[in-house]
Amino acid sequence: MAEKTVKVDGRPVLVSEKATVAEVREKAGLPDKRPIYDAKSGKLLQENDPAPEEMGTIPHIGQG
Amino acid sequence: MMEPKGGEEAMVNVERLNRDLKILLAMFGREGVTWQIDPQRGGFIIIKHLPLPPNVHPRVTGLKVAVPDNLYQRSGRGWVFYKDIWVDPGLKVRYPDGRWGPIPRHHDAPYRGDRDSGWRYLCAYPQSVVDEKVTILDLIRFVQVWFANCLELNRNWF
Repeated sequence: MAEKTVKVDGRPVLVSEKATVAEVREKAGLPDKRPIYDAKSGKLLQENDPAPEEMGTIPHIGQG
Repeated sequence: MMEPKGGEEAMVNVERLNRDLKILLAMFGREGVTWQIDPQRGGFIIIKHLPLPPNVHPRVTGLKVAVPDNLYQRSGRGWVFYKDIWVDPGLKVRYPDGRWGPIPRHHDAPYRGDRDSGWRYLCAYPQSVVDEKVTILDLIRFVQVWFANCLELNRNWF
């Protein structure tokens, strides 16, 4: 299967060519299911979204 | 930078706080960041000009962040982190119909003791932090990502 490298918080992660955010999360070993966003747009991603080239993570969001 | 008081145990993890202050100084310069912190009591950090995403007007805000008196101490499975956030008044977000309107959970009115301060409280905060490597950069990203997604987050919040 073809693979590609994406970045999460600046760290390269090798994933499948059609990887979803869920696959990136698993391969990157991200802790505690913290939210993942598209580093280009700043938009939060869902687990089934295709993985963009570069992503970031933030702490879980609380709202009052 | 901060120094623990001699003979007393600092409640704020001064080493990690100093790392955060160095990060901010590198990002925003000496003129762009101020702080007032007592290692025993906490305090606050102010970033004068934090860039915001394009769906927000204006594209920059001041940011005031409370420093809790037990910052970066262990708490449950994780670490105590920054929580209370204030930003400039008058910020607007672009709605799907193109108009600029109020930002959800941005109390565009004086709040508690901040009545005359010019700051407005943001009712959004980082929850549990379990990553040992977390820094104030995570908070800055949190604020920027929250603003970029504030309408969706407000709609989907239960």
